[in-house]
Amino acid sequence: MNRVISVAHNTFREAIRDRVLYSLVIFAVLMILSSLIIATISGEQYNKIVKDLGLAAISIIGIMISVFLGMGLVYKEIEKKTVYNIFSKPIKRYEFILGKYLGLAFTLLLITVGMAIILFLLVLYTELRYQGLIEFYYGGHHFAEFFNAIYFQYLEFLIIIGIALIFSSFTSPILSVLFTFLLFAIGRFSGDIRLFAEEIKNPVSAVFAEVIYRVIPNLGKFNVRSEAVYGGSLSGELIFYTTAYAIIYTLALLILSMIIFEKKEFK
Amino acid sequence: MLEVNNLIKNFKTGFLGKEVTVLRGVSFCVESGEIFGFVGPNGAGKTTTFKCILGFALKSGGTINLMGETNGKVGIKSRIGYLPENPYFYDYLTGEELLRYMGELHGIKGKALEDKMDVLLSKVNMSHARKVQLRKYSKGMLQRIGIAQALINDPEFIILDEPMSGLDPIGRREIKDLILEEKAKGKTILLSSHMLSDVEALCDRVALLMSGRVVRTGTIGELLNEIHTDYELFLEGSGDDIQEHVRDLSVELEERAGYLVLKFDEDIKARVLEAIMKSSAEIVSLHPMRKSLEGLFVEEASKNE
Repeated sequence: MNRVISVAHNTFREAIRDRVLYSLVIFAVLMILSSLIIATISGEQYNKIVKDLGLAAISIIGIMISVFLGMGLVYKEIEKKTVYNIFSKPIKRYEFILGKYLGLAFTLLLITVGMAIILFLLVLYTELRYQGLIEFYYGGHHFAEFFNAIYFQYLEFLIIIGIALIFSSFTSPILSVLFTFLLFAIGRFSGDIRLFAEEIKNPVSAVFAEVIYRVIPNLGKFNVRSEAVYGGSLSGELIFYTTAYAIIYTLALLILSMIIFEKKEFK
Repeated sequence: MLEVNNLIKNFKTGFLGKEVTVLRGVSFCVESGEIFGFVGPNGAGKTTTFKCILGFALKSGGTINLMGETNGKVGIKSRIGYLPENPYFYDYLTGEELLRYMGELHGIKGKALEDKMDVLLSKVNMSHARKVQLRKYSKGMLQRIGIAQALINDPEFIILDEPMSGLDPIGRREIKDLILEEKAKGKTILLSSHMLSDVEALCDRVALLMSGRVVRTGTIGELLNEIHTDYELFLEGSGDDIQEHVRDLSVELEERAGYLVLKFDEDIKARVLEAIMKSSAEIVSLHPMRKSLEGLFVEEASKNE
């Protein structure tokens, strides 16, 4: 386990010394702050605008970080030949994969928490200013749902990192990004694909759509942003099942990466 | 310590997966406590052999017995130190961060690790740059920090792929001393190089690798005894006159920098000199061409072409 932590620590260190990460984080903070400006020209919908735009900013930036840093996780180590150093030491290949994953997952945890704190302060600022209005329009502040939305968002990042990690262990960064975004898009519209499968008459296409629906993670499950704005039922059961869903998917993705990487030759 | 037997390695290249054979049956064995040199031109398969030994590449045939292990268990690596060719490291790390990371992968930690790092950094003369990021290191500095990380676990068996490359003469001297110091401690060292003078100065035994095959193995002395010693005689004077006098002897003649140069074997030295004395030419210098691995290397390389 110590070796896994060492690899994770180094992956984290690499991420926070990467200029790409800084530009994305700065961009995210600007997006969150800009929601305040847009809110001022939006009549009485400040709360919705700040929460909606802010959560969307966290989502977009987090996904971009997951994909762009995820694509290089393993590929870069092979390309820059640093794997020769790593694997001349007594570390198993699956320990390395796990360490790489945990390193980026931890990086994203810090970034998500950071962005969430900034956004929450903005939400507090706007909501307390117009407390009466908010309660009238939205029936409360829905802070619990807000944090829940961010938690679900982080679960989605965990799955996306897992997908990027798989592609990173056997293909080039460009293809990695392409495939990961493709799977991400399918995952986000997974529900629609299911609907399509039910409507369709052609049995071959229906089976195909059903398979896609079953295999690709249903990322729509992690979107509870409207509950964060309007309130709604986020039961303990839903939180539990969504968490379990994310963990099981992530584990499956990790195991697949480990299997692919186990057989990999470093030329 | 290490026994490699009939090692074969094929790579698939290109879109159609055309097979290329890099190693065509490499066999050699490294005894405990010796410095073994792996010599050969670029592309002969030195690095590929190391990759197979360390399990980075899967062998296509043959056997490798490393310290009693034949199927490359990961645990054995805690007794090995390895310096890759042209070491590429994480350029965002500082020298000491790299050493700490590599030490941690060996399971060394705390004060033991910090002490070991101090010793190694001063040994490779890099204490001054320990807090500098590797992206700012010169090639020689990378080579030194690379050697330090290879020694972090105090390995019994040290594999160095081109340890002298990129170093200036002083750096080479220091690394040579370091390698000899490890040998004195009873360590076994396998190093590859195409710097033949370094190999000659360091290695107890040498394997000569050409196009994926070991063509010669032996001690430096054994290999050098196979080479004829030639002499070179530099003369000033008219070429025709000299040619006349050495006509019956097997002498090579050539002109170099305004001098006439005669090359001949040791056994006819006296007769050549006698003939020259009879001519009008003046002897400028006479010297033996040093017996060297280079001669053997060039000889074998030309055979392979």
